[in-house]
Amino acid sequence: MMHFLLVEDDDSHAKITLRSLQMNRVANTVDRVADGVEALRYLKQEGQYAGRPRPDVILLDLKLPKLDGHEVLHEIKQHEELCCIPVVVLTTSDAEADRSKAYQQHANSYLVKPVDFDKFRQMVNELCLYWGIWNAPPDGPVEQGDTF
Amino acid sequence: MMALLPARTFRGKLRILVIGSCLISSLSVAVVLIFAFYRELEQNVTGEYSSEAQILSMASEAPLRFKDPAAGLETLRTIDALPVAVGAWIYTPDDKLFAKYEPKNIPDVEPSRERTRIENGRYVVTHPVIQDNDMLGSLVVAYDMAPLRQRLRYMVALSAILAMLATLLAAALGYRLQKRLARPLSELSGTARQVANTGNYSLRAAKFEPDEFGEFTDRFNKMLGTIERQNHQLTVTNEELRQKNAEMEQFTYTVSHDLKNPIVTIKGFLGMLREDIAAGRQEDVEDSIAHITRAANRMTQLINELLELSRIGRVVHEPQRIDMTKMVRELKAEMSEQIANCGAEVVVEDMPPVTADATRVRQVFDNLLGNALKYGCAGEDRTVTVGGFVRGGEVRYFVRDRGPGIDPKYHQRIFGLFQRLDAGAEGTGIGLAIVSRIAETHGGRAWVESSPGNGATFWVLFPDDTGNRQHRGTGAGSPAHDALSAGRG
Repeated sequence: MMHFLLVEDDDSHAKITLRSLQMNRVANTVDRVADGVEALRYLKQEGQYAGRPRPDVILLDLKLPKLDGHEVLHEIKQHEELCCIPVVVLTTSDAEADRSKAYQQHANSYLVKPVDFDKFRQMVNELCLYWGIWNAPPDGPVEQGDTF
Repeated sequence: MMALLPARTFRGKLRILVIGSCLISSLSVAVVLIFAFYRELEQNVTGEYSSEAQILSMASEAPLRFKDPAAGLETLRTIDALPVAVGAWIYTPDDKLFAKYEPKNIPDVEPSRERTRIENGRYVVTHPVIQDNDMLGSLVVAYDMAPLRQRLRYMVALSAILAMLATLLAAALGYRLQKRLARPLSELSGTARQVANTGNYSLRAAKFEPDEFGEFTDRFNKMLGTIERQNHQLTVTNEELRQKNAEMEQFTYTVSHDLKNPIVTIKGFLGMLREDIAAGRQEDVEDSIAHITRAANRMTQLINELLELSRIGRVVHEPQRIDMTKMVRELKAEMSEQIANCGAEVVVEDMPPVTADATRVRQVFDNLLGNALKYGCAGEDRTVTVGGFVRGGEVRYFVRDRGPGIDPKYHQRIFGLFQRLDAGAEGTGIGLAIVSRIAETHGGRAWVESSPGNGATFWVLFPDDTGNRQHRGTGAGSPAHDALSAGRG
């Protein structure tokens, strides 16, 4: 069972992503937070997030309130323990500056949100296959999280 | 002319010109002097020698009349008293030698028709011996020219020395003069070279005298000043353009990103809607329609607010004196329903007026009051205070709430375009960008003072051109004013 952390401020986009994940062949659970500060608190298991599982993959939007996606990504990749969690940037921005900055900050993947739902779902499928099956660590921790 | 002045610098050419002309004029003067002296000498000698010859010829009358050559010789011997005469001869009218005296053993000198002549390096004077219109013979006296030549040589040498001294003196004077003349040109040329090499237009050439060069220097410096000002203006404009360009890029990026968001939502939910309808999931259908509607509304709101933002600074209304207290009280009345809904109490203090674009200023307070009601009325104390005062030539207004406050690290960010701190709250994130933009177009600024748990005070500053500098408002004694006085502003 794959566990995702979805960092997304837009409720509608979150719902589209969650729906795509629900319909996915790879079994998964998802937690969602709506801004950068919350994302870091979740990952560091602070406050209300104490005891929450470490995600297998982080789906990170770039345009976030309080702390934007680039700052969150930087924090994660600088963190001794969190740096090994794959971060997939999932954003509407197809600006080259955002893409190159994300890769410079060691994002594992940069995906532009497709406009069509079918393509969105297909992308999420491929994402699950890629990170859940093909690139799953052999003895990777599989922790039980709450289904969103 | 240029071939005659091979020097490469103006100074060198001037030097050659001065020395050359001095030399030519001195030499000319010397030549004229020598010539004049020679003429003078010749006249003197001719006169002197002719007089001597005349006296001798008178003395020779008797010996010739009485045909006594011995007496003639005696007469001729008197030339011993003349220092430069070297010989004398008396001839009969038929040019036969009658008597001669030649102590230096020189060959006989014949008489001639010319009164004076130069022969064998001697000056020869022939004078007739006449008595009572009776031609008795002629007298010839020869003079040595060596003393004459010596005097001439002395005169030439003296003239040459004088010419040389005059040239040297003139050259020295000319050197000083050329130095003085060439100095402004050297200064101008040096400054021009330095400006060309370094591109530093703040340099100026020194002015020495109020002559044509001085005027030229003034004009040259004025020209440098103009270029410097224009350069500075160009640099400033370039920098402004660069900033505007960067802002524009950021604006385009942000706008394209935020306008794309609702489209992703609409098309995403349309896809889900299709599936839900096919599967007969009515509840999900309703939910999808709600999401699509919200996204479409948000898109409309975004476009409207972006248009509004773009109008600021582009569409300018005539500035007018605004009674701020009255305007904010009117706003409060218009928002009474919203105020009642969130249970807030809005206190409007007396405020100084300001001269500004009334429509825009109204927008500022509309946004700030709206924000205070939306985000600042979450706790127990739901008081929102609006006030203002004049301070240091500026009018400062504030909108203060007692809400949860804003972490200082977000104070800058919230004035940016599409920046929101609360993902759940409604709004496009354009409001504070509009506030900031309006303040800036009026030559002022907007900022926030806040810390978590202590409410937030939003400040808007306008330059005070209303002439009411003495107006202190009730804000003068307010906590906000005290805070400002303590340096937080």
